[in-house]
Amino acid sequence: MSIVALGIIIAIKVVIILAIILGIGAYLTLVERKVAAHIQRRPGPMVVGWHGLLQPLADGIKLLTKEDILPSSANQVLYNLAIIMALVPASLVFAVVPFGPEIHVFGYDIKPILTDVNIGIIMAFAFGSLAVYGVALSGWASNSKYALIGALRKAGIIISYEVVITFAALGPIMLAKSLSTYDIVMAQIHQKVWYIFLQPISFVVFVFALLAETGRVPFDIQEAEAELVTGFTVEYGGMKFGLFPLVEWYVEVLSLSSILTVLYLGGWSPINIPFVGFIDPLFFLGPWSGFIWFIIKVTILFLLVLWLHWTLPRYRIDQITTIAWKVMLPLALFNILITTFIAPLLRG
Amino acid sequence: MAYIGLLSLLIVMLGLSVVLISLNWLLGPKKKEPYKTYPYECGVPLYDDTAQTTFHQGYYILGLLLLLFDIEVAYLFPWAVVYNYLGMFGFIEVFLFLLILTFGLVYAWKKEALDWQFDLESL
Amino acid sequence: MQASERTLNEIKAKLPYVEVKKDKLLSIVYVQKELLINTLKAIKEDFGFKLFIDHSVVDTLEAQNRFEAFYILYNVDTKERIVVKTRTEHSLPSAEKLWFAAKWAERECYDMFGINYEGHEHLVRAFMWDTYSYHPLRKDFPLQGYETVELPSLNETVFGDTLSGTMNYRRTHTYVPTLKDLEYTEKNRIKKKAQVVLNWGPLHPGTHGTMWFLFDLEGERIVQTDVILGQLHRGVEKLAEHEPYQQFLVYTDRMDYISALCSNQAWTVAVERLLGIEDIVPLKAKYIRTMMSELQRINSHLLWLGTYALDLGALTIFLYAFKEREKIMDIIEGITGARLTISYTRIGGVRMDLPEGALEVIESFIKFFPKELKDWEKILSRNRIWVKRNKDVGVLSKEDIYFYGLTGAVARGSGVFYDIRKLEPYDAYSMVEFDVPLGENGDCYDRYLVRIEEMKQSIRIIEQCVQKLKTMSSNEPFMAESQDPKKLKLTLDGIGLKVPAGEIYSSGENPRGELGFYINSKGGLKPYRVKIRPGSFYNLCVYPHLMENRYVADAVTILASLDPVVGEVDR
Repeated sequence: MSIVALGIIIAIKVVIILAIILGIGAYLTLVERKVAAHIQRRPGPMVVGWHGLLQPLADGIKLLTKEDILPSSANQVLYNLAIIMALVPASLVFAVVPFGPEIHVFGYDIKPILTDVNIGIIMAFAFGSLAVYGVALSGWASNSKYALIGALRKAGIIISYEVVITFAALGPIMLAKSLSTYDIVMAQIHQKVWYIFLQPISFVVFVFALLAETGRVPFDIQEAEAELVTGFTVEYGGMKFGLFPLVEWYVEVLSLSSILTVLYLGGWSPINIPFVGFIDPLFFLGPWSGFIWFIIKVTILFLLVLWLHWTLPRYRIDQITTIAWKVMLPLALFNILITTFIAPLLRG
Repeated sequence: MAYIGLLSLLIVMLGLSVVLISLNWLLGPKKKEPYKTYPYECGVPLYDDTAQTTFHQGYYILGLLLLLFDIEVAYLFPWAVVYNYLGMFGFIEVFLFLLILTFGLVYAWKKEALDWQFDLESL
Repeated sequence: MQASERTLNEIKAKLPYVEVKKDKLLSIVYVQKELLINTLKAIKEDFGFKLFIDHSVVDTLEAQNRFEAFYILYNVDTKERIVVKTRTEHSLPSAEKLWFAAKWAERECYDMFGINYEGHEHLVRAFMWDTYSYHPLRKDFPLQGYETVELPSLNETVFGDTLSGTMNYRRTHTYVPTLKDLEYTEKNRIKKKAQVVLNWGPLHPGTHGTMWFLFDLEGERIVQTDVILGQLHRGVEKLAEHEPYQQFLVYTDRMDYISALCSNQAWTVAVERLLGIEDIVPLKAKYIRTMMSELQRINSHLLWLGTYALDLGALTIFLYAFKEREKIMDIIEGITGARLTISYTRIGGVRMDLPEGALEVIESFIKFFPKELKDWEKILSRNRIWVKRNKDVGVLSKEDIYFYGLTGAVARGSGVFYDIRKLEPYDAYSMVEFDVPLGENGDCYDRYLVRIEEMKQSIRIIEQCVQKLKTMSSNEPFMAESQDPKKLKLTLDGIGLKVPAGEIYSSGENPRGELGFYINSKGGLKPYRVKIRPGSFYNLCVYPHLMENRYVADAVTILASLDPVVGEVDR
């Protein structure tokens, strides 16, 4: 492949990822508000655009034109660095997510994944671990007691569930015998079974860890307005304030849901009957049906997360860490034990 | 070679985040008023001048636990990939490793290090 | 009811240095200041008057011993109430070892009257800031205050002397606290023992109003707490001394602004008891007042449920509860004309009759409301997260109830049967059937269950009132007719109503606790002293005790389950 073709392909992929992060991320705010409104028996945003479709644009313009206030006792460098440390690693996870099968366009074989390396999963978790920096730095740099307490709580939760999520992910890795995200999906397709059927405990643990890492209910003590008035973002204003929920609630949920789809739900494969085969109602789309299936699965997971948000109350901080260390971690270890017996039974 | 994509995404995201941060400073109004930059403490004067004082040790314990268990899982990643080819030897060896570290978890549990900010008196 | 002759005689036999007196309205024990604490201790421990109701001071402008202090106590077993009185010139011994609630009552008396309490652990002002130099409720403090401070308004700083007409207002005002005063107050209120002191302060979306808490934190554990009140203090008791009795009704619904009708009813019943006209109030008025009061109770509990769920994270229940509140507010607006500050009752009856169709609307509301309530109970009551956050949090024993003077749903959640509607029935409460739910453990979960059950019992009362009101024709009177208009003038506007000399303590069951009024009248159109016994004030005084050694996260849960309203706490 010539350098020019390579450059164009990489540029297209980067643009698509940017579109996901900014465009879809922004429109997911509207989806959340509409879903929340209908659960609460009210219409939601209706004024801006037809049924509120231009609402994210209005929110973005409002946030961008607010005044940039630096608190008098804050460290300026760390204060701004915290946002960069929050946004950049969360978006780098999308580099290892495979969106669909290999397609043949203009004579080139392209895999729709930005970085197809054989340590994809480790990179995904590594970037996820960097997320704690954004939280801890912003809390410390703001030099306000509310920010500090909120940041330390959030950081405590993130690091507890880091351990849990990596232990849980060991299960599918053992079954697929590879660390590359593309290969894990191909392994599920060859073995004709989604790993959720073989690893239900690990799936549940992963979902809990997803809710906790991204700060969604029932683990969202960060947003507990009644206690800490927006926690570590209390001294931020304007777009800096807007970036934190965008990254936490939307970009990170999308990226972790994508990793969950890759590990447990077979990536881009259509509906699966375990050990028998795949049924594809969207067969008429040809090679593009894989992309649609991936999007459907991530959407279902996102809607599940939203449903939980607007129904359940939230846990207290000590209950959250107790669940992580005393319930989820032993479950994940138990799951590894079971998988050591199941893994040799799978072929291919 | 395969990392070119990652590198380009990194550079683009860094540039984007710097742009987003500075947009507020470019587009927003600038009005200096007294007490606008006063730290938020519910509208009343601060009791302690700064929040960057001593640090409670309970938060540090969680960091220690993260260190131990994250390194444990980092060792387990390569084993998980080649597990099928190792046979019984691989299983027993790592099982013993996991058992020792699980014993560590049980010890921390019994010592109440897993409770959020336990009392020092129980040490 | 007030203490019987037998009890008073027993007290006189045991403590020969006191004098006892029993008139139609109150049973009083007079004692000298030096023997006050012994008397209170004997009455509390030997005679069983364990529940602390109120303590305050009346400024009689006599030459010697100008302040008359009174303590109101209650015996839950024999259902008797007693008043202990003493006189002093400027200081009293502190009763805080006997009841913690007395500590807060004494802070208020020090603030308002300047009485020094010996033996008080930390005597600071209750409502005013600590550098305020006056004592407002004394009779020589003028109603409009002393104008000492120049505070130019924004207009004046910008336009200076070029303002004219009504824009050029007076520049001297009464004293307002500066940031330095606030800082002095907060540093004086709590002495730092641990790592940081957090201001969980007046401008915060989580405290139910403008209450200012100070948390002394060690990491996330709270080592000690204190509360600074007074951000919403409006001097209602001072204003009461200058208003006719009927006019004061408007202030009562601005105190507990969420359940305004219940406060109105409590004040009206208090004045009616003082006048002795409880029997001539027509039956229709009694049933109407009861029914509206119970509607307000449901209204208030719905707000409590909505904000409680909101604070704990179940955001949807907040919107569901407010939708039901809108229906109730529409009903109340249709009947009385107002949604929030209602002032519907009058001394002798109500303002106007029920409009046509009101009873049908109320009936349809109470038909569908229990189903909604059951739906919400499915979401919350057995939800694992909800139970985990509420069980064994903020546990109060029966002894705590007596020691801190707690009333309302807080007392019933711990198993103490204290409901004024059953113990001292007023209006139509003696003629309707309802149960009083009692809790077992006294934690937040029990208080939650008690309030939900109270809503269901309110539905029962409203149903019976509606049935009874349907049988009454529209020609029946809704306002009492006075037998002798020259001696006692009862009109809808209350002008010229003269109340004979006397004093009374009468209380009503607000959704938040017991709202009591101590009225001291020396004859004439206006009362001499009105002391308002707010349920939320004494319910809040247990908060520092409950928050010791707990996490900050529990601060919200416990505060929401105590359900304070700042208008009532600060008056």
